Amino acid sequence: MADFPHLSRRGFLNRSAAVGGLLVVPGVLSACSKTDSGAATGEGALDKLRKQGFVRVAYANEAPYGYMEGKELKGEAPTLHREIFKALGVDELKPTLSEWDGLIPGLQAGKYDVVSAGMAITPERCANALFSEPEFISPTAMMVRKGNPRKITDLASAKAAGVTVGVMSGAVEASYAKGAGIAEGKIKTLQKPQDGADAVKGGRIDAFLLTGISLRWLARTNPETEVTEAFVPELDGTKQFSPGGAVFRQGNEDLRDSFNRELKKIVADRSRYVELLGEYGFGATEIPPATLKTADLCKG
Amino acid sequence: MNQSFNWEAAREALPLLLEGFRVTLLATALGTLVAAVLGLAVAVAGRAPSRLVTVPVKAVAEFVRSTPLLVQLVGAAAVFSSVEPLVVGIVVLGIHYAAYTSEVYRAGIDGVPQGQWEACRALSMSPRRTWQAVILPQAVRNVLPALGNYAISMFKETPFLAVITVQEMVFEARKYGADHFVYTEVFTLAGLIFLVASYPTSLLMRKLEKRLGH
Repeated sequence: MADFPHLSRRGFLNRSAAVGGLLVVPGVLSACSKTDSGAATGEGALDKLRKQGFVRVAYANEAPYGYMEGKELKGEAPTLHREIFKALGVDELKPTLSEWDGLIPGLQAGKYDVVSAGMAITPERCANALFSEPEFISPTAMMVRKGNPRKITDLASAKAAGVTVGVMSGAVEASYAKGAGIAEGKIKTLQKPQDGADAVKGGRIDAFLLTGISLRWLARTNPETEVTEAFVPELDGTKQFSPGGAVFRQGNEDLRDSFNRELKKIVADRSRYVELLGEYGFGATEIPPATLKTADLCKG
Repeated sequence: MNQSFNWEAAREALPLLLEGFRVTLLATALGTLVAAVLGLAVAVAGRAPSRLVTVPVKAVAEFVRSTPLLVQLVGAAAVFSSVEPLVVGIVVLGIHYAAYTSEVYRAGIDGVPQGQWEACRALSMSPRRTWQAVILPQAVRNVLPALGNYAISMFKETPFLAVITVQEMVFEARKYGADHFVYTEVFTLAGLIFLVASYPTSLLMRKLEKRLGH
């Protein structure tokens, strides 16, 4: 049932696209039908946003990716999106709070135009939504006691020092640690990020493995700790970038392409990126390499 | 896009959902067991001679009945954070439903004719033996269908357990949805599985009701 309004909406847009093509340049008509609604609705979508002066974004209230503080939408994604849409001539973000599970269905139903939640780009997801180019990557870091008494800088040095590391239960970091040759007995499993911070402070573990983004956020409220420089971990010889980005409705390719154009400018400017997102724990190590393309990530 | 039902996703998700369904069944079975035993204990305690027993028991039962299951689950999961979520879930479900089944038992006990009590006293049976041999067998028989309906009702409330990270069917459905951005299909499937399981059970309960002469 929920799909019907959406269906008719698409039908309507297709029709208006065809009519528009007929009226303006008949030659465009073939291009229109080839790319489905993309060509016409995409640019049309951005024009519409410019005219109305705002873009509707969804967030899942997850710090530091996208969250509400007081009356202000903050976090990595909203900050980037505000900059990008401003450059595209759309001045305001209109936020919609959504349950994580509702982000994509709401996007598909047309309740908002972009998901500003820093969603991970994976091949499985690509089949059902349009991702922007990566906004960030999530390299791994380690939380250690202040002053880093065991001098741990990466997994190799952790193994050499024979220290005990903590990982979140069910998280991918356990495989990174094992892959680096750390003995199973030296890997402790924790339920929550705060448990990891507590274990570091209490000395039950020497290092807590998680993404640098999460750890830096965690360290804000745990001043007895510090976070080591993030590194891109490897699994079976391939680098694990764990990138995330914005999500658009399928059929909205042109809006995404305009978005990507502006995103590229920010990502290429290291100091601007860090200045914008440093507050949220995104640093130079989180800037996606220029060679990392969503199209390739979607292929898996 | 999502204009038609994605059969491929449904086929891929089905084994995961069934895996989760095993946890759903386990939680229902053990939760029902807790509710059945604890509810009976509460009902019997509610008839204790001393108000020192009856007042607190009734107060706790009233408290449990008057607060939402979801709030109880999240609260218990936060307090007992070191306990396995499935265990917390089963115990909370059991206690929540015990508050209701105790009323069912109470009705069943009240339904045993006064003459039965008097006969027990005339035969100078001990209170223990009166309950065990005379009252409860009749009371429980009377309320069996009602208890069954509560079990079905509990079965349909197990998705709440997903909130405290119990990996039951709806948890698996949400996980598949989040991993693949496919929601309509998995939730439709989960709903169908619930229907296929609970409808025949409720028919069975109706049959049982008839056979017991209600």
